[in-house]
Amino acid sequence: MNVLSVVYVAVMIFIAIVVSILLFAGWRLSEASNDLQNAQLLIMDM
Amino acid sequence: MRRSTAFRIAGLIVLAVIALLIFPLTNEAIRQAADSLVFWAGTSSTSLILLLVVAVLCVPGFLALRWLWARYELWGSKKVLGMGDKMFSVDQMREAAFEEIRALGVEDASMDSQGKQLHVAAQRINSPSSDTPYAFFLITTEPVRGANKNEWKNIADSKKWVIFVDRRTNERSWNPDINDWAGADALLAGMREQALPIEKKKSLEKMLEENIMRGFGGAVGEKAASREDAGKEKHQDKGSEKK
Repeated sequence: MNVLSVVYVAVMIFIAIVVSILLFAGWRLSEASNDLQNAQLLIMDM
Repeated sequence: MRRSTAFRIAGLIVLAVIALLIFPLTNEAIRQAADSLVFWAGTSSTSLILLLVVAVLCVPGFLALRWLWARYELWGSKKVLGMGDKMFSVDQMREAAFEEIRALGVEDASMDSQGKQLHVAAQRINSPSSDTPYAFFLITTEPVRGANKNEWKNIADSKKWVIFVDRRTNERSWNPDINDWAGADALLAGMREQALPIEKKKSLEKMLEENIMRGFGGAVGEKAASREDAGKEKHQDKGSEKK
């Protein structure tokens, strides 16, 4: 395994981490928006 | 554009930019392809493998982050549940209720992997007097949509999963010995009566959300109570006008 292969794998893992975090951030924001809407609906029900 | 969409697009752009930066370094064939600006048309199997590996690595990464977040929310909900002016997410309340039920030793309570579906139904039980500061919740581990009166009676008699909430202090206790509490018999009778019938329009999930919100969310509960009172007064006014 040469240096280039190690760099290659490291970069792939780094990309995967970055993309995972971005995916998670997107998911969290959409969930938070849904929660807020649900809470508002519940309060309106009351 | 919503922020969540922006984050997703940003993720794709970052992925594309990084991929463009590293592809030419990895393989002579890909370098030639990039040079000829027919990157996608000229991709060798190596670049496709790279994309696949990254995509496959993203899935466990995303799931791990989501799992960690769920644990964090659960920890947070334990901290805030019952505080007067705090707003809770429905998921937080569900998770907290679930944990409380587990803490009671009910091992068969279960949720799906996303924690969305709490297989626990709750029926808020009003005491007979409308101005009482107390509220009861009756919790079961089974869906009660089809429960008949006898089943409800058994649940009430077992007193196993009764939550007692003192709205003045917002304190709550589990499995209280309600025989020691004045008017307990009348309350139990009221519990049985008011537990049925379950409104068909409302799903149990909805009821759970509303009931916990009213009972535990002090400020929200008070707000609801004041609106209920206002509604009653309005109703009475209309009645007196008719007379």
